Amino acid sequence: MSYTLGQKQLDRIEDILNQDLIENGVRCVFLIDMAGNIIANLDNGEKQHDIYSLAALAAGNFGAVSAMAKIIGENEFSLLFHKGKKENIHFNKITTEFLLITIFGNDISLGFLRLKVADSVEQLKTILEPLLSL
Amino acid sequence: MAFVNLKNKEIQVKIVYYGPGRGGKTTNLEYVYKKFRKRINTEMVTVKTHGDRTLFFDFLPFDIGVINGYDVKIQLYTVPGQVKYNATRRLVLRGVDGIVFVADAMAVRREKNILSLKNLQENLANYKKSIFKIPCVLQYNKLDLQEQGIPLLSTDILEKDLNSQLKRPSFFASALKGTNVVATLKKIISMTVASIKRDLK
Amino acid sequence: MADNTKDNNLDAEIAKRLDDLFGEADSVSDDDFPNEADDSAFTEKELQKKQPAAAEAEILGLKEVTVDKAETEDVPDDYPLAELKNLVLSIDWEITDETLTSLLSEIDSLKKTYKQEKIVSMFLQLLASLGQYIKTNRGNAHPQTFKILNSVFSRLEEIILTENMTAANKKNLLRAEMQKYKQLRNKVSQKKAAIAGRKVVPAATKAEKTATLTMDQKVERRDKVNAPPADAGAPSAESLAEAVRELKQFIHSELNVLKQELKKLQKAN
Repeated sequence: MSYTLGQKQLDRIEDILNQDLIENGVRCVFLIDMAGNIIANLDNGEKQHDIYSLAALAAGNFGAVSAMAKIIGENEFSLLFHKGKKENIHFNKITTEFLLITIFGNDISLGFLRLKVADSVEQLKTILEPLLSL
Repeated sequence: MAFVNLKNKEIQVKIVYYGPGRGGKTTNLEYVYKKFRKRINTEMVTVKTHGDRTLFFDFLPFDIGVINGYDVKIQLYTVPGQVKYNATRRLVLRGVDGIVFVADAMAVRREKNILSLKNLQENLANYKKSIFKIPCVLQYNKLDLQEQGIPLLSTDILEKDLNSQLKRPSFFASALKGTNVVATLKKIISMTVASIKRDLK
Repeated sequence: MADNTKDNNLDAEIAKRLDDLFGEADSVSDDDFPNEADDSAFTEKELQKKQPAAAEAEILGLKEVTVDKAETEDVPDDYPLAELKNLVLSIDWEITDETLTSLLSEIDSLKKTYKQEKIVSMFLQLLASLGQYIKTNRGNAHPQTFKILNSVFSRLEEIILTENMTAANKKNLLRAEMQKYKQLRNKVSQKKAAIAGRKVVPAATKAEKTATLTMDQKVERRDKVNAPPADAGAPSAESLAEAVRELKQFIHSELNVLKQELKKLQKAN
């Protein structure tokens, strides 16, 4: 079972991520599926990360945390966020199959980022949801 | 679940090495990583315990180049083999496109191989995937122990235990020495990419 | 038949790619590998040396609550800013209408408590203005707003918690925060103008500049006229009251300009 995304869809995804997140100061954002495949990735040009490893670990991490949530009787956690001294990382689920990961510095407040991510997710859903019925 | 990116003309493929604990899954990846460092420019990620057992997964991504106009990116994963890490195995199996089942050819591990294969079947079913349909190659590992006089299971027994219904390609191998490691990998990549292409038609 | 041929071609192409990748040239010879009895070919140390970033990858701990310096000091049990602090910290984590409404309501309540203290009142007014801006604009608020909100609150907390802080010091703190607020306001105007795709309307800018200048001039004048010695008591009540009034008017007019621009943008969309 595979899924495909066309040029227009991917362009639109990149536009959304650029406008809502990168232009608002987010350092790096990537959209992946729960298998760890990278669908889109954007950064502000400052630093290059090993995004393949990040994607694999992020999918694993999110999966592990979701499994923990179920064990303790929660359907899911509403916030998955790791704070570092200079860089932070935030995870957001999009439908059951996709994950939006943002890496940002301390110049952006988490609350603000969550608002922007929520906006992006709403728009990305319209592109990604049709894939799930394939 | 392979992802086809029409914009970049790219296909991402996930292959998971599965099998009982200490069977040689990680060693397979480590061999590939060491041997082809110059060509595989990416790093291998390992998440291990202090006792050198896989805790979460090992991960090795690499590009195999352009096939039919598409850049094919392979992502190799191993799962932790210890029984207690079943939840993690299930996570890593998510979206898998092809499987290498690394069985431990030591005679004392016969039962563990069978249980692990059964476990694979159950975990795949969790994602509504069938072990009979997904591309799969069997590897009977630790061939090198034979010369040390350690009793290994015969081909007949291994085939009967593990492959009588699946009827998949199988290789005797030594992940430590590299015997048939690459042959196994080539076979599973070949089968998986072909299967994906068929799915896409 | 045709399909078979296609499949055969595909197989051939895959085989060729794999042979190219895993061919013998350029690969490390098996003879170069030390013969190890252990299953794992690497020791943990070697892995760490070769993959400094990736080896032993750890999941980072969950965020600790970000604290300002003041929080770690002993605070009295009946700390008057406790609820406000709670709300400001909550906004850092999550911005909801509920929290913002509570914030504005708490500020209102504190204004009554501190109505005799002009500088504290002005700090509270700044917080209210920022809070209202966030509430109106939410995701469209300028990212710097939250930093300034935290900063204004921290200075306010400093003033409340530091016994015997001089009026001059308090004024300096207030002035610094006002400066940040003005800079934010300018950035917001520029951003709005850029989004609207037109040059900043001269009238509006002039009005802002005039207001700014007026504020600045009045502050300067007040300083020159009053020139309180370092250890003086509170500056003249009248001048402060005037400054507060001006600040209020200024903030209201700014908010109106921003609201109008927002409406225009919404109509355009």
